[in-house]
Amino acid sequence: MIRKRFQLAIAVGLLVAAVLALGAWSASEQERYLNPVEMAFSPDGRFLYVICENADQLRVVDLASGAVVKQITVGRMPTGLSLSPDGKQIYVANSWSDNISVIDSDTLEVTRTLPAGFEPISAISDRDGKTLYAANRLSNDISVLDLASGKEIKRLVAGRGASYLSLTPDGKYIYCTHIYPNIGKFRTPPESEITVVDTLTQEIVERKPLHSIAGVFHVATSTDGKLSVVAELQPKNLIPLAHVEHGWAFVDSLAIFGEDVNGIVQVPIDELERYFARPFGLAISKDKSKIFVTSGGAATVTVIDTQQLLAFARSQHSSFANDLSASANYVIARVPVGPDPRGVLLSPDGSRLYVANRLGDTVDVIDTNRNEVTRSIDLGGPKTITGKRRGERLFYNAKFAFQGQFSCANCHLDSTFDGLNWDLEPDGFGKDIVDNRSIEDLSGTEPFKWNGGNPNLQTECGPRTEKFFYRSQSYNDKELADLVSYIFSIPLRPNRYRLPNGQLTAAQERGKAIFERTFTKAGKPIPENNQCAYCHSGPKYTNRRLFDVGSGKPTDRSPLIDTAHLPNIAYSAPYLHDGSARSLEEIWTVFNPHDTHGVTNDLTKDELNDLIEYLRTL
Amino acid sequence: MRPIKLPFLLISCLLFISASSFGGSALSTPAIIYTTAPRYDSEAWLRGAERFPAGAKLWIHDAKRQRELFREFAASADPNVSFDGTRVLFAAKRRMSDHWQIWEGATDGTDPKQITACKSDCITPFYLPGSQFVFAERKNGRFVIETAPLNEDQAEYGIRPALSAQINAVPLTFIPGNALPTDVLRDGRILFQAAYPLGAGSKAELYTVYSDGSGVESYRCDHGADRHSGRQNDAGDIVFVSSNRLERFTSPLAHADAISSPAGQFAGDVVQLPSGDWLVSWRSSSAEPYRLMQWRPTAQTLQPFTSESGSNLVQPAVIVKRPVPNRHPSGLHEWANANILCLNAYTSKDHFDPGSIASVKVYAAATSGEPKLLGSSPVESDGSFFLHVPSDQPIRFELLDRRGKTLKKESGWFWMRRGEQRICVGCHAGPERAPDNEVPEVLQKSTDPLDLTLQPAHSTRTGGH
Repeated sequence: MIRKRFQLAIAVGLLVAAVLALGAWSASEQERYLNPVEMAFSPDGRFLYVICENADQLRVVDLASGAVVKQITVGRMPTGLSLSPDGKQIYVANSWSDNISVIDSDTLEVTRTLPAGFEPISAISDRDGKTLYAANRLSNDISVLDLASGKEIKRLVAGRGASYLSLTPDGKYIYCTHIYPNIGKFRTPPESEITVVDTLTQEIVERKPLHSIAGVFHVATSTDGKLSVVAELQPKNLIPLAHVEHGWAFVDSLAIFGEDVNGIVQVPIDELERYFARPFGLAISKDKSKIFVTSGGAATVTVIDTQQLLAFARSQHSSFANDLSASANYVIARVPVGPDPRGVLLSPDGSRLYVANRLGDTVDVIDTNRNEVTRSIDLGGPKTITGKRRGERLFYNAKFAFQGQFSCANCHLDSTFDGLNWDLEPDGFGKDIVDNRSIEDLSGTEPFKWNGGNPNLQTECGPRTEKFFYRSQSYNDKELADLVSYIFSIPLRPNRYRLPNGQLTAAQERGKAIFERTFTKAGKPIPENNQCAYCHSGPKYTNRRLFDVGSGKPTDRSPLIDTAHLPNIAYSAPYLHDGSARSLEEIWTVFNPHDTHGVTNDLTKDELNDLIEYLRTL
Repeated sequence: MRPIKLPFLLISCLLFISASSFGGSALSTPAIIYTTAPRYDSEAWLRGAERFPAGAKLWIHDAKRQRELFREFAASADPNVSFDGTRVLFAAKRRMSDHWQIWEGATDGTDPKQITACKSDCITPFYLPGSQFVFAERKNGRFVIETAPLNEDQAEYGIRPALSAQINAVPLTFIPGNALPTDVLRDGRILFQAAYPLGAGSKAELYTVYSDGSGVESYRCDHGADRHSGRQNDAGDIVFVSSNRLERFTSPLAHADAISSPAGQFAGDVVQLPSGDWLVSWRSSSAEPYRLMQWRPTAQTLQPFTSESGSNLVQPAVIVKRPVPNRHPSGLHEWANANILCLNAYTSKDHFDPGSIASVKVYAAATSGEPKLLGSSPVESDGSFFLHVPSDQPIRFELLDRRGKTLKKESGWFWMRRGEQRICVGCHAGPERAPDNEVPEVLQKSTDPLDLTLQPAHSTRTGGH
């Protein structure tokens, strides 16, 4: 009897433990990490507004106590935050809802929602508070919104991946930077731009070129308006990635321009043996004495002496964009902060710099006189760190590459892609040029690599990455499992080409019929393996096999190419295995002369457009 | 910097007190192993000569006392403490007439095991990550740097089988001169000293190489006077001796930075104590022996740590746990030779007029040591060239103009490992120079390198096919 009671007690105990464990697991699985990215002060300076992109929230922090006093639900994946000139309105760009939440700063309630383009990343008002501008990453444009009517009054064509906006202190111009380079000629240096909008005419008046730059983030202008700074990546995608030392994969840089300098000057922030990967957030002190820049991959804030920088820049007779010793002339401090720091905000008196640690769910406060973190504000995210979260941190952490030069997130910006093609060394020099593919919703798309050489993600991210990318000891087995777990969890971004009701437009229907056709327009049967829907079949539109579709180049070792998965294919130009097709159209109009990549030469221009309309819905 | 929490301070204070039982001026200092030698010639290796012509002994300085570490050897030197702080690699001889061999023992002086059985001297061992070690073996009168596995399962007391022959030590250096490892850097590279110009000069310089022998290069290209005995400190700086004075390489600078230190002569191999102080071998003049001194960088004076009348105290090693350097995942291919791509020969510390470089000649070192021409290649208008060259032997380049006149000739040598693919930004561009992001013209013409190996085509493989 006693034994039975004991057994029962054990069983009940185990059950309770199991329930508790399940509860804990459920909580950790259900709780969403916050991912704070941008900040602003309340008009009275008492509160800090923090955009938490993964929680779909704006969190309000009492700066005196450090407590989160309010959580305001906004749209999906909010990324941008700004205030109206009078401080009464808070604008939040909801990148996955394609709209802007307007929040009353007194009541802290969402009062209305404004439309935007595809994936608005930031939104900013003009100085009169009459017009709101939103940078749309996926539609590559800038929405111009009349704040009185709440209507979008025009769309300005920006560069590719329009993302971050900044109003000049005189209110005359808005600068827009871009996360992806503009689509250019195959195997030429990437070109980006700073799109300049005249706020009076609401027109684009200039496109400041950023040569050999891909991946441009925050832009800031000094109070006197004479110096503007952007954070940017200089990729080295055109030379074989035979090693990593000496800035062989990336140089982390700023571009400076304005009256204080002559033209646009590229300014490296790296050193010879230490890299400060993925410069992102920027702040210039009111007196212009210091520039602060976050490096997401290095978990660091770099502090630059502006006068030293300007003196050095003026003394140089040629570009020092590739001189890793240049930073010694103007960098005065490197301040370690939390994981993946993004936006920064200077206190009005300039004594404190607030840093949003995206993957730490914290805001670090730096004493700008001592250049030290003196306080860390916990934004109240989950305390349990799951394997997936650890994997996300690994994905964005550059410490695994030789001397900390780059991480997965350098090429897969914000877990997407970089719009570049690369020359990887193991294939030989100049051989097997590869386009960087999107990594959304990857499960079921194996094998990986364009030649199908990696059967699974463990191989892709483990030994291959260590040996031929990082060139340094990288992930252990547990870390690799976490990383793979995170990558497989990266979701598809919302597809903007599908109708809300799930039906297809007439053009999309016609395109679907072309995609699925088995006969040419002349009635001739199309061989099975030359039908679109044969290779691009299954839930991810890939049968996961290799085919020669005639897109191989003389420099490719084999004409056999892994069948690409197609979900969200609309966003990830350029196309083909080597990125030689600048658009979906070019896949067939330029690179399919003999109907080896599906039969398309019997299609009219309109029919090809229909096919593309359908592909965009996948 | 984050604020230091009070409990951490308390714990630190307690540790400080417990460690400070080591008396004298050496406050809070862990146990130290060092080499004591009647005579010490820190640069004898450059000539392939003996650094300790009158012998040497490893001593330990710990909380108990100062004593000889291993008593069973006629000579011992070159201590390197394992990453976990429990073992020490060193060079030793049982009899003075023996060759130096690599041994490993416990840091308390017990359990010595012979690791190598070299036919000549094997010296200066350093632990590598992944149960490997790097050392220098005298071959044909020259010190060659090698790596080998440090397999504890095979390490029995007594003599292990001849390592070079049976465990297949991998040579890393291929120059007509001496090379000695001086540290293993945290990024996984091996820091070594050799003559400048590499394999040809008479003054020492510091270089790096990956643990598979690839990627050899000068640490910096400012090439100062006689640099040797470099060690990496906690800040990542390389502290070394140049003409008896302390200097350092720091990550931000492309040139050496003189360290303002008290007058006198330093022997190098500077180590950092947990307190942040440095332990240096120093003497007031060449008439005195080296003593071990403790120094707080920026302080005006050195504090005596320990000394021994008539003996030089050098090569200090701290018995502490330390971070394991990153392992280098070798990317060498299964090819007999190597490929080298120069992006732009005009990118150089030397000036070349635009369009002036027409061709490049490549030489290997003949058995006599004299340069032997392997062949030449055109240089493209953007300064690029792409060559298939012999591996594991000394090679050098010479740039020529259209009339065949020499524009610049390398005076030293370098090498490429079997299966190595390497790219240079330019010719003597310096490690501070990142590449321009352009497809080099030579790769637009052909992705196959010009073969200068002087071997039948079928015996070479250039990769990619």
